[in-house]
Amino acid sequence: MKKLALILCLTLLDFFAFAQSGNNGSSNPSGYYGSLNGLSFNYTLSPSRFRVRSITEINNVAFTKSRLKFATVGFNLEYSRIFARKVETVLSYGYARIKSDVQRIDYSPPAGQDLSIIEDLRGNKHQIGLKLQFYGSKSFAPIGSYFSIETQLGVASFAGDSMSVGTLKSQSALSGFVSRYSRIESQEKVSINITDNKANFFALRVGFGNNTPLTKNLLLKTAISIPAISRQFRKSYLPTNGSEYLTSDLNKDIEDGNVRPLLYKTIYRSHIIVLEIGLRYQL
Amino acid sequence: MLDLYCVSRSERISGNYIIHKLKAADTLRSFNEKTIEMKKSFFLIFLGAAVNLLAQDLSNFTFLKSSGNLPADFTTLSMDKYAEDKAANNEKSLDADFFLSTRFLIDELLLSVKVLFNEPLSNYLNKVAKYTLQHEDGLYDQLRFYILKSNVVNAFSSDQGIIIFTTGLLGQLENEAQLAYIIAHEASHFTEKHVQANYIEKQRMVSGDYRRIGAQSPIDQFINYQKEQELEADRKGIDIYMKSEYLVDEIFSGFEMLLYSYLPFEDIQFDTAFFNSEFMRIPSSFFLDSINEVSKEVDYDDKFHTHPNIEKRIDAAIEIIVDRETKGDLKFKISEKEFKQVRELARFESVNIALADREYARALYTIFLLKRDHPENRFLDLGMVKALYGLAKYKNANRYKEVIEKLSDVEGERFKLNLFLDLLSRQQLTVVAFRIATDMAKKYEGDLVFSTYRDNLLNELAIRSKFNPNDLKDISFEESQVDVIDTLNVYDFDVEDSIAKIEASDLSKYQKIKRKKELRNPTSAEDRENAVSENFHLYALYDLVLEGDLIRKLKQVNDDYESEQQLALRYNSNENWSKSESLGIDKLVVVDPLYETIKRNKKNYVLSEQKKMSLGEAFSADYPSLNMEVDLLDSKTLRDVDVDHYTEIGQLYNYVGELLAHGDIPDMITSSHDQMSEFETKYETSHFLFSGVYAVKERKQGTWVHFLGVILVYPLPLVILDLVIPRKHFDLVAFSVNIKDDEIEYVHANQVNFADTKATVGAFVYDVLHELNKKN
Repeated sequence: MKKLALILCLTLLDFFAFAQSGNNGSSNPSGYYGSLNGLSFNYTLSPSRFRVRSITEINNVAFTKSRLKFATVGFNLEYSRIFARKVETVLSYGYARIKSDVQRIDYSPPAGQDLSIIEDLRGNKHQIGLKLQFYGSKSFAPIGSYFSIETQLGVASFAGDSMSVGTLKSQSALSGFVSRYSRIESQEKVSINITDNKANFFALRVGFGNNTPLTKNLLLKTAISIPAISRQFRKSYLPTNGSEYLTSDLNKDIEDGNVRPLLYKTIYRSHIIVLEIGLRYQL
Repeated sequence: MLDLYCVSRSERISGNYIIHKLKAADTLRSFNEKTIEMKKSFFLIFLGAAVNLLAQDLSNFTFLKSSGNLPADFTTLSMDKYAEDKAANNEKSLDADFFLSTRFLIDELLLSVKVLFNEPLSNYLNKVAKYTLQHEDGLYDQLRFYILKSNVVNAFSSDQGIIIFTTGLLGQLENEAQLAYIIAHEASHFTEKHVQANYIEKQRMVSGDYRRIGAQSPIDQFINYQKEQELEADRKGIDIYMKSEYLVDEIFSGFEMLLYSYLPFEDIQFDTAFFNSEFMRIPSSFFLDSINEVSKEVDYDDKFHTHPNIEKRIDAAIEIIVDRETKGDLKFKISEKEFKQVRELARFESVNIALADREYARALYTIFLLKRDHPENRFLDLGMVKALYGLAKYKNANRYKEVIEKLSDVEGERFKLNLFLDLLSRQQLTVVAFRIATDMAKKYEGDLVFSTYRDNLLNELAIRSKFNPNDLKDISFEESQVDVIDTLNVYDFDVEDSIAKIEASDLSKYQKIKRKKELRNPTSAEDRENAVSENFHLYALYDLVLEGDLIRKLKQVNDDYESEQQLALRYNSNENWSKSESLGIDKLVVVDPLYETIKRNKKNYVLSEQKKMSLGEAFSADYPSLNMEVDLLDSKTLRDVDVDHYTEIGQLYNYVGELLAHGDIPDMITSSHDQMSEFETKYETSHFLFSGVYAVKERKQGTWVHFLGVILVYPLPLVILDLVIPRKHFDLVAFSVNIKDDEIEYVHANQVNFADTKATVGAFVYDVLHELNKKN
């Protein structure tokens, strides 16, 4: 309840802030050359896996590499308004193309079988957010570094109805971020049926950012944030009886109960750390 | 590291703190003598170790200022001078650094706006120089002579032909011939290209070309090299001097003058009655007879000096002169009257300089010397009030040691005055200052400057001197002396009888004990006389006690102050801290913003000059969202007709330097406060902003976070990048001064972790202006 009260307060404060005329009601505004309103467009990066596996697919004639899954890429649009010398509020809309993380988080192959999810399910994430940004002692809104606290509401959904499963053969082990370099020995696309492909989520995020002036109106924005609270209101499941989706020539089974909540984990993964880089224009 | 400090008027600002911040940011030049010395050492050659006329001029004296048109030396950008001189250079050994450092540093000195031209001192200097150098083909035309306001006795020349004499030197001269010799000496440094040779030699030493010879270190050898240059300049200078009609003996008297130039221009016994007035008599017991004898002799050890000692210089001069024919025996060729006038002006100015440098005791001694010839001079009277005021304020703030030299360092007759000032308690000093300020305010009735000091000292006496007004007597010091003699008979009776009477009386227990104690231990008459002498200050205001109800006034001031303090305390504890007063300034004068760009621990002179100009533009740009008018006084955009602006920048920097030095002393009037009212009228505002940017590109230093990164291995590449890539950041310091109240009303000291691009600096400049402009 306490958390909820805090969230409500913050959200209300956000709206209250937008109603201010800026700079504590002063006749002349503070901010970047007197500008109170800003618009920004940012790319967001959300590292989905810290250890990345590079998979080489073998077709009959040529090798192709599957994409490394460093991060989920998205973007967001923000409108910000300064309402005190070191405080501003931000209204944002964000979109990200998400990939399910079944292979890493849910699935453990039957004993003795090296079965992997090769091609993930793809989905969309839409969110809106309200944010308060508090600028540091050496900065003033909107220049310099700030601490942010944000409430987010969003929806995520999976659009796909199939995923690629197969066996891999490990070729070499590399240190650092790339853990394994594998080759696909055999694969097959399987149809899936997600019981409910939509989930709403709520998050309270905290983070740090920095705005660097480029010209008299343009600022370069960089930011990083992590969730303090993250909740999904509905959980999506993959059907548990995986064996029916695999064809016989693979001759392998996915046992019951191995594929667990899908969206829940995916949203969470795409939320843990979000890096932002963007341009901000002061109106 | 700096933080952002925005302090409003309602908050008391610690001046020391600000100074500390400014020093840390290193953005503001310090104008003390040490700094000037340091600057000079790069390119200048130091010369030596060391009237009832036109009373109507001196009676209205305020300060020396330049007039006419600004010479090209002041209006040409340093980078242009650098580019031009470097292109014209034929000497291969002189690199770009030489031209950079000399051009920029001498310009910094010229634009430190302490340099005088087109006024009586430099006009006279030019006349003497023209005559002295008349036989040197075209030499005079290659040289420019200026005067530097400084109490240091010095003269120096640059390779560009700029020769600067300090007012301190002019004040010490005994005659025109001595001045002529110094001119000849300095001109010889120029003709012999000593500045260039010195630089080349220094480069050789730094690059390791010097070899240790016997016990001589490379530095010793370099100092010896400089000494040889001095002797050479002496030789050449004598050649020039001997072509004039000046008396040859004055070369030697000039050397002797330099030997004692660290002493005031005269060494006269201090008059113990100097501070006495109709109502105040300071007992002579306060003036001890001991003095610290003058120690310096002609053959002082010159091992660490760049100049040979006076004995060596005299010996060398004798050798040159011995067989030479002299052309005349004049001590004055141009004008003795003008010389004395110029010297007196320089001496008057030295009072201003000493007051601004907070050398109050030195100022008092100079005033004492000058008052012998000008007993009724307003400037000297005001100087005396200011000096005593400064001493009283510093003593009451427990910072007296900052403004007074160590007694052991004071030589000659001035020692007596310093000793006297040391002996006075804070109450005594405040009373003496108040007494004299009151007398002067009466003498110059209607002159607001004097009454301001008097009123301020009344507050000082009531509030900060820890003085009990009830102690003040309503009889004069002379009358009290009679009283002491009367007391001799008081105790000439039977003590036991008296004790019995006291015990039988209705007095309280405490009163009985006190009286009995007094009877049993009677103070001797001598002790009581001493006590009266020591308490001379209690009698010094008796007329005001009798007529002006001083005791009541003092109590009233103290009560008002205490209730104000209590209110302030309540305000601070109950009210929201963020309710600081907004300044709401709608007219501001930005005074010569400073800019320094440092890369690899070295100042980038050209870039700094360019950025300085763009910083000025940023301050004076039109910001539609601000309701504020900004006037810019910029030393880099001066035109030849802007001599007034040049003088004003000098006055303002002088003023603010002193204001910063006073720091947290409450309610302190700066010595140049009376000059500031003109600024208020001219610019129609009392708000003046001083600012500076110090931009640095440097590598980060390792911290525990980096260490942690190394331990954890994975962040190692980031740690290395963070440590290896140099980062840019800049400090922006700005503070606004209210010249009406002598108060720093706003301070902004901020380290910004961005490169100093136009957009970033501009944004912070806007922020500063906005903070000053915003209204509640």
